[in-house]
Amino acid sequence: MRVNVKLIGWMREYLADGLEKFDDQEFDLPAGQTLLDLIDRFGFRRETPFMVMRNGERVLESDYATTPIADGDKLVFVPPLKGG
Amino acid sequence: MGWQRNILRVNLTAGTCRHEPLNMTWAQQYLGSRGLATKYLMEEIDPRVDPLSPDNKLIIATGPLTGTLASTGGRWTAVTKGALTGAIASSNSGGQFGGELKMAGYDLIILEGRAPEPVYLYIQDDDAQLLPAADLWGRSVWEVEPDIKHRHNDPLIRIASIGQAGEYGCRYACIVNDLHRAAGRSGVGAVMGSKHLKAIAVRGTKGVKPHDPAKFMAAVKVASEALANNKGRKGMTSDGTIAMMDVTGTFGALPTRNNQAVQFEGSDKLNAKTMKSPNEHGHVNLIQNGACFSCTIGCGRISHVDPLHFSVKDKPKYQKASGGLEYETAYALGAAVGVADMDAATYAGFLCNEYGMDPISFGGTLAAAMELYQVGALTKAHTGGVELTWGNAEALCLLAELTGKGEGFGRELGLGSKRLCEKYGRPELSMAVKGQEFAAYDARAMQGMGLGYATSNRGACHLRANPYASDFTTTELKDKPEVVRTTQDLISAIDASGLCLFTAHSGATPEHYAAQVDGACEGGWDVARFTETGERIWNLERQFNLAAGLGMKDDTLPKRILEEPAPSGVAKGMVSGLPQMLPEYYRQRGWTPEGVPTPETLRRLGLA
Repeated sequence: MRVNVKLIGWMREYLADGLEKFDDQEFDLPAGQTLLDLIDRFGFRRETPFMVMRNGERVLESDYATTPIADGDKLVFVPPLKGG
Repeated sequence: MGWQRNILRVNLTAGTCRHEPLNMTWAQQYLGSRGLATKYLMEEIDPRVDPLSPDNKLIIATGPLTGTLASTGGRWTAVTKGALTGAIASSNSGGQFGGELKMAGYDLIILEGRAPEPVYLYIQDDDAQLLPAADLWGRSVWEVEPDIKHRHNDPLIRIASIGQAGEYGCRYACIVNDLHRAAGRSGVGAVMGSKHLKAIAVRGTKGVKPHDPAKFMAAVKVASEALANNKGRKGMTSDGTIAMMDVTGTFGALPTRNNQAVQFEGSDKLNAKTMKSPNEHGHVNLIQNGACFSCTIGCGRISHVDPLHFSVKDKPKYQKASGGLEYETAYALGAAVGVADMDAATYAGFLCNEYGMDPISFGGTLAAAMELYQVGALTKAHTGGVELTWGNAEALCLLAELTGKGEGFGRELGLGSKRLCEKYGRPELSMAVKGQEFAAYDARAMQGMGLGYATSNRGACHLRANPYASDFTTTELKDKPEVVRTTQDLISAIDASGLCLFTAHSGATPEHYAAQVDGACEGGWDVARFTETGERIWNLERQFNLAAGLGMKDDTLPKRILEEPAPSGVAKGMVSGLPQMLPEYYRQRGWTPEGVPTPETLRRLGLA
């Protein structure tokens, strides 16, 4: 299945070493993946808080493991930005 | 020492400038800048005065760390009774001016009375004099700064001045320094204009001595390294605050069309990626970043407008590089008015700097005017033929100029949204608290921000509390009062120190602040004392407001935010939970249920 992943701001700085830096990209993924699988694949560390939106709705951290990813999903990762 | 132990008292009515020793008891209690200046103001004026009368005072204040090697040690504050709000006004600015003023040997300048004719204040270390400004009055910040440097034959003079907006009394006129930095909110520029003071020009060569240099530099090193390695700081350096546009736009907290919506379909045209990418003519808006005095973050943007854009096509003056968009301005001159045009927003932002007015309040007022037009309360007969339709970029650019100059319908916009909406019979359409327009965060989506807006001592403000991490994590109300209260106290102390609030967004901890203050200032400073100082400042500001006639009835939000659900985004269907949060906030503050500090709280803080 194919999903679109958007990384806001400097979220790409949090990608695991060795991964290509991107901010807005399509990915082909095997079926049956959860959001937690994707987060682990990117190497985002859970102790750095971030926020995930799936098709415009936020997914709580407690639901990462049980949220399936579907073909055509739009996922947005938002870093801990503070304002000005 | 940190402090210079010296203030300059300027009586504009009499035309005199005198040195005066700093009250060191107050310095130990209120630290500096925002806190110390508020104490002086509280002691020296009646909080019920008309802000634009000669009986108001305007204090230009530095902190003990201003002018030092501490990273971001360059901030200064303009403290007065605000022309926009009638509340305490405490407007913080960066650039170079504050460091220079401190190095000239001054903790504060207290400006009193009203000059019979326009003047400017010229300071060279100990020497201070008021000079005639008749030939500067009526001219913009961008003309006045080079003119003053030229007439004194010194390109290193640093200048804080007002443009035409401050002169005619635009309610949200600001004080601009170093061409594109500003003490922006609450109309501090209108107060300066009411005193017929056009500019403050300063050259300082004395330096600033910390109390314990070795201890100070050790603390500075630790704090600076934390900033250097921090991902938030790196983001600030590369993108500035405009990175927030994608966050609030995605989340659904981006106020759009006068808070009628919380997401803007054009926000992609106003984000960091657009700022850094070539447009259809191959033009890139962002040139480089910019930093203030002693700053190692460098969040400032230096930008230029596409020379083919309608706003600057025949105006070479505006095709040059100047201060570019940060998030608030991109919201106010973008989403708030429905305009999805980075060049238009950048150009209108330039005008706000040139004429000296707060872009947040200008955009918020124009948004209110557009809604008045939408509902028919305003027509083309009122606006001089300008169509105030959502997304009208030409109207935005024209009205920024007219408002800056106080001409035509611009003069009406200069009233601010509260007075404008009251005048045209629709007061509920002003998206403001205590008369000050909202910042770029919708209070239905961000519940802590809503409580922060309602309880900020200077009117709606996104910088008085730090609810961001909490609000982007949860919309639940339970912890918001504590988050808002504790961050309000910490931020008050940070503002009082002379450092920049953005250190807190870039890895600084309370320990970093306390250690640097402890090195710079005598008296023994730790985290507990630092944050208690902040709490004292917060309560002092509250006392000022209560004496000025503001109170619980003003700790509220517009009807739209309390009753109309957010139409989309993470908080779709929600309104602000302020009625649930406010009583708990007052209780935690040690205030009565009516929002008045109790005698016990005042005694504890030494305010009784």
